[in-house]
Amino acid sequence: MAAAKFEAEMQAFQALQREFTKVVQSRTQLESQLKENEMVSKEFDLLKDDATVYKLIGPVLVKQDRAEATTNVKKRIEFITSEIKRLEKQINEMEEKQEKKRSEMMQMQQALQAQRQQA
Amino acid sequence: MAQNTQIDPLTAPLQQLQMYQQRLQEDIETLTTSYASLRTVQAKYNDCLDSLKVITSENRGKTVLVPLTNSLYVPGELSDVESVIVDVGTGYFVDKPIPDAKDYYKRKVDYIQTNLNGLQGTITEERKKLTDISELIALRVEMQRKQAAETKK
Repeated sequence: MAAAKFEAEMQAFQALQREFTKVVQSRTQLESQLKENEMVSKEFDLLKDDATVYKLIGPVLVKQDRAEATTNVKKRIEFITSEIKRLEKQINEMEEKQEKKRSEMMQMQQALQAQRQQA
Repeated sequence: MAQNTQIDPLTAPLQQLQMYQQRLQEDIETLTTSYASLRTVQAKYNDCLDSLKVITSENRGKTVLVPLTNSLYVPGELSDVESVIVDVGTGYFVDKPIPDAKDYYKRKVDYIQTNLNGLQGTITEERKKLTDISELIALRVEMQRKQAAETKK
């Protein structure tokens, strides 16, 4: 009875861990996107005023308005930063949850062992 | 990244030490992979720099082979030796005069170099930690063996 419950807890814990890895992965991905956008933004700042900016749309390069491209990248950076913040919060929450589950499971395991010894 | 927790090397459970050792090994693996991929990217930027060296006014009008794919080339004429279009990332390309483009690639190569240097330092540090912990584990195993022999007597 208690063993079955422990098994269920174990599975719940593993599900938590899997979800945790997924969230951490998306944060890593977002961080590299942020880096790339920051590099582009820096590059735009260094441009001469008469420089032409293109954007790759499918297989063709399309001329872009420079001011528009700059604000576009800035906006993207803002968006990604807020996404990272959101994920970071989620990661913290999940860490707490995992820790709680872990100690719960430790207690259950100890109880289970005590029971076995009595039997 | 493996965190540093203060533990007594002679009394900490062996299992814990082994876990720490494994984590260090994994960290080093990730770091060396990143190092290798940074190296590849740096080489690509260096290739771009080399290619730019050929676009000079003496070579204006000369015939070049333009790669359409890795294995298909068509003849073309080098008409514009003043500027090139550079991929600056996230789908944006910028028209740059050759000197500026060279400057751009040089900056990229240097930027990667500083990253590589930092990474190299971290890898050396982690490797040293790994040697230390491996030695400690060997010592502890030896101690355990001796103890077991003592109690048998």
